[in-house]
Amino acid sequence: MEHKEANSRKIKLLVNNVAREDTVPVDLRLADYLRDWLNLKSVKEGCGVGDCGACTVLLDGKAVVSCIIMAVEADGSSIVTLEGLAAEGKMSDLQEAFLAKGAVQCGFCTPGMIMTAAGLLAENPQPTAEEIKRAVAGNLCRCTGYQKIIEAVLYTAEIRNQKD
Amino acid sequence: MIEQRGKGYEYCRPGSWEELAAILCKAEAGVMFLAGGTDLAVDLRTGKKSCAHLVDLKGLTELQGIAETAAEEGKKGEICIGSLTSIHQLEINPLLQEKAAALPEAACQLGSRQVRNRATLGGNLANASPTADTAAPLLVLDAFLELWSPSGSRHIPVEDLWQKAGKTFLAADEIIRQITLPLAPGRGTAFMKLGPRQAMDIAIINAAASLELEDGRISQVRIALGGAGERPLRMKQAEAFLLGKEATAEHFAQAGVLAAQESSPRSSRRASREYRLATIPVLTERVLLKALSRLS
Repeated sequence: MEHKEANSRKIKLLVNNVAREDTVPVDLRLADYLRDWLNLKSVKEGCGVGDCGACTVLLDGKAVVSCIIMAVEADGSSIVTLEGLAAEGKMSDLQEAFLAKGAVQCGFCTPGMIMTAAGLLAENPQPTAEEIKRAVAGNLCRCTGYQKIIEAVLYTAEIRNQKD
Repeated sequence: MIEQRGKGYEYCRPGSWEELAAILCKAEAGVMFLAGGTDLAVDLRTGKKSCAHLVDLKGLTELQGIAETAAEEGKKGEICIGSLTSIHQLEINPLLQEKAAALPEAACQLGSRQVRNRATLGGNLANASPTADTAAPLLVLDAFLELWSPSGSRHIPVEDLWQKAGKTFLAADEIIRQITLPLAPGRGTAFMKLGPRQAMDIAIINAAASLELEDGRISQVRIALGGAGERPLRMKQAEAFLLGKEATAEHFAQAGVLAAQESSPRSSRRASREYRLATIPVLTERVLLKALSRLS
């Protein structure tokens, strides 16, 4: 079979609030664009088929798995990766909560977990433990440290609620 | 790690029907439509599927949304859902929760949160999986589809969409534009799914039911199963058995036995034919009981 080079297409998008314009192959995955082209190393490839959640980012505010989305599909949208949560080098409350609650073991799933939690909290600021479990059902933690992760998300919601 | 194959397609994202029609008339063959891409992106990458032209429908923003048309004299009310509405939108929609509960109930059990944010109702139907979670609810809700192609549009009952696993009756240049659910106020509907995990799993079997009672007897009933054959199926013998009977657990159990008799599941790596045949009566009975509990 002839192995034709992929076509390219120009995309414009916001990544962590920075406007980007790139010409990308049409079959370049969003995960590879973010990690390899933009050097955003929080975006991890685990399974590559949309099952493990390690490559989760926010696309227009919604948690999505970037290994099953093409970069061309993100044209015109706004992407936030874990790097985008830490404004000016200062970690967000959600990241601080993961540290405070010991929700990080090997760390591979952590960026994806945090991005899924960020998407959940944006939509539902006071989730129950059950709702958090459901929300992170598509994020696999190979260290099985789920309990601390759920506590960290609950803790973030609690802190935010006290501030309001 | 998956080796990257299946390169070499042209990608386009038309922003209007005219543009889409022009693309489809020019493209000779090998057109594939892209909606949420949660299945297709993987299949294109592994080489399981390939195409010459990948037509991304997400530029047609009018394909997204859920709206109710109120009942008028001589015409039932209905809910219209754009085919590119995300599964997550179905899950959280109050209108559907109130008037077509089986559909959001199925939506919230499909894939992961990340997949539900991306996957679409039209994509789930056109993908033609025999266990597509939205299929059984649409069958019991008497849904019909508006199909569109450059040569015009037509309407079909959702039941007439699927040929067999992975294959629809859609023409090569035809897409699903809208899904319409006729409303029936006195109806109780439900969905249930059998799989090893409570989340993220593709169903071994799934089931939906809708029920209406008149003077304590069943005046309307629909039962649909996924995984019971090579496409999502209505269980018409079980329905006929229940019609006019009292809504009791015993009758529902008998209907479940009939449903297994009219099923022809296959063995797959998810479950054997025998296991599916053994669980169909149980799931059928339970989903009918659940639909009944939603009536009062």
